[in-house]
Amino acid sequence: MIWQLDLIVLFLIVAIAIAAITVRDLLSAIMLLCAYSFLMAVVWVQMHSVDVAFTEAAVGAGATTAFLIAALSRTARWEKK
Amino acid sequence: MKLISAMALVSVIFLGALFIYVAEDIPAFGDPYSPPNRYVKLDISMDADELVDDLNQGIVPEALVSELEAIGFRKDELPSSVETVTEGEWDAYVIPPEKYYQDLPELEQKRSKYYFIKREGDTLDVYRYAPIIRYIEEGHHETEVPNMVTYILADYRGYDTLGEVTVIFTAGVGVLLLLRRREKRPE
Amino acid sequence: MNTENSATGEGKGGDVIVETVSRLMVPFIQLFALYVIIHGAGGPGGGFQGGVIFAASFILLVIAFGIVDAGDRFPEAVNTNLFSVGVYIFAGVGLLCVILSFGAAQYLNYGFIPLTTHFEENRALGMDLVEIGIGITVMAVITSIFFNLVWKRESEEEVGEKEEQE
Repeated sequence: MIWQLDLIVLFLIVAIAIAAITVRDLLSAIMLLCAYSFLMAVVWVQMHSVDVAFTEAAVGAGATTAFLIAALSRTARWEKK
Repeated sequence: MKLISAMALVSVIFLGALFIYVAEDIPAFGDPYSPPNRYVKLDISMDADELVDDLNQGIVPEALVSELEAIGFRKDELPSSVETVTEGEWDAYVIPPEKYYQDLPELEQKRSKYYFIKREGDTLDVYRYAPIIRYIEEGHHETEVPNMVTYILADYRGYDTLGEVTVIFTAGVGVLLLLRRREKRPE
Repeated sequence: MNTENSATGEGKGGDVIVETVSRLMVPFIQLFALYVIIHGAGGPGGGFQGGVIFAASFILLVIAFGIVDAGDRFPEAVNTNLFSVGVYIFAGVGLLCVILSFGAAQYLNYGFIPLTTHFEENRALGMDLVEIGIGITVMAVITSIFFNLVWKRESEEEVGEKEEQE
């Protein structure tokens, strides 16, 4: 794959990870984690391991995000400063 | 900065450095020539001159079998036939302990590569093939399943997957016990 | 957008668009999940991924129709039984090899399940059975986790509304 795209994807992953930690609104943090899982699935596919990418996409973006949102609906939405 | 976060920062930096150091030492797993992906050296070295002609004719030398047994290989892991790969390199085959249909003759000579013997000057070095070699080379033939990940996960390492499924089962039961949808009992 | 609304659909189900779209999509998601489970041997996928996708279809049901309708669609009793059905299928297939070969085969040596005469094909078919078992367990577990996470919220609200009315 074109190495420039690799670099862009990897930098994006690092940026999303840092953003997910620093952002105060928990719902957007969850959305960032969903995007993070999706990009990790892209990286797995690029490394020719398609089964892991499939699992990462299905579990990471799908189930985990749903769980986190369900859990969020039981707690406060804004991180206490 | 509070003391706690300072200590946390120090430990994170230390663990990160340790992780990078360790990751740098591990042979690249993707590299097909690293020991875990090919063969691992056994500490057996036999003098080559009298054994080489035996090996070339495909006879398993007694010295090799006794040395392997001395190291601790089981009875059913001792080589029964030898084949020459190239000049100075031989593959020793073993009939694996799994059961097969007895009535299918061509399955009878089911054998898999267990040992690799290499001539180094006047000594013979014996290597033990990594199990992944058998999965890669004979897996498709033995299980008629095109996807290597599936037949390794479900068939060769079926016990691990059985364990994983029980782990998922217990996770489900655990969550069930914690968050059970009990209707509000009238106090 | 209020999180309680989006996560639980107020128990009465979202608006019409969400309902009709998800009513259309759920069967196809489940069909795709079955495809992924069965085709674990051929292409990427297998029990785990298929089970998660199957659970995702129930999660969509909850989001679109609210927990009460989804609860009726996939009752909790059935869900809890399916936990162990998958594991029984997996372990059962392993034991089947030993039983059907009258003790000749090792545990989980699928070649001895006499589905076909060829040893290799038996192993392939045995693996498919095992994948189905994994798919069932994973689907049941993830669905039940999500239902339980969402459900508790509902009963608190219903109780809350009743107290307000009195």
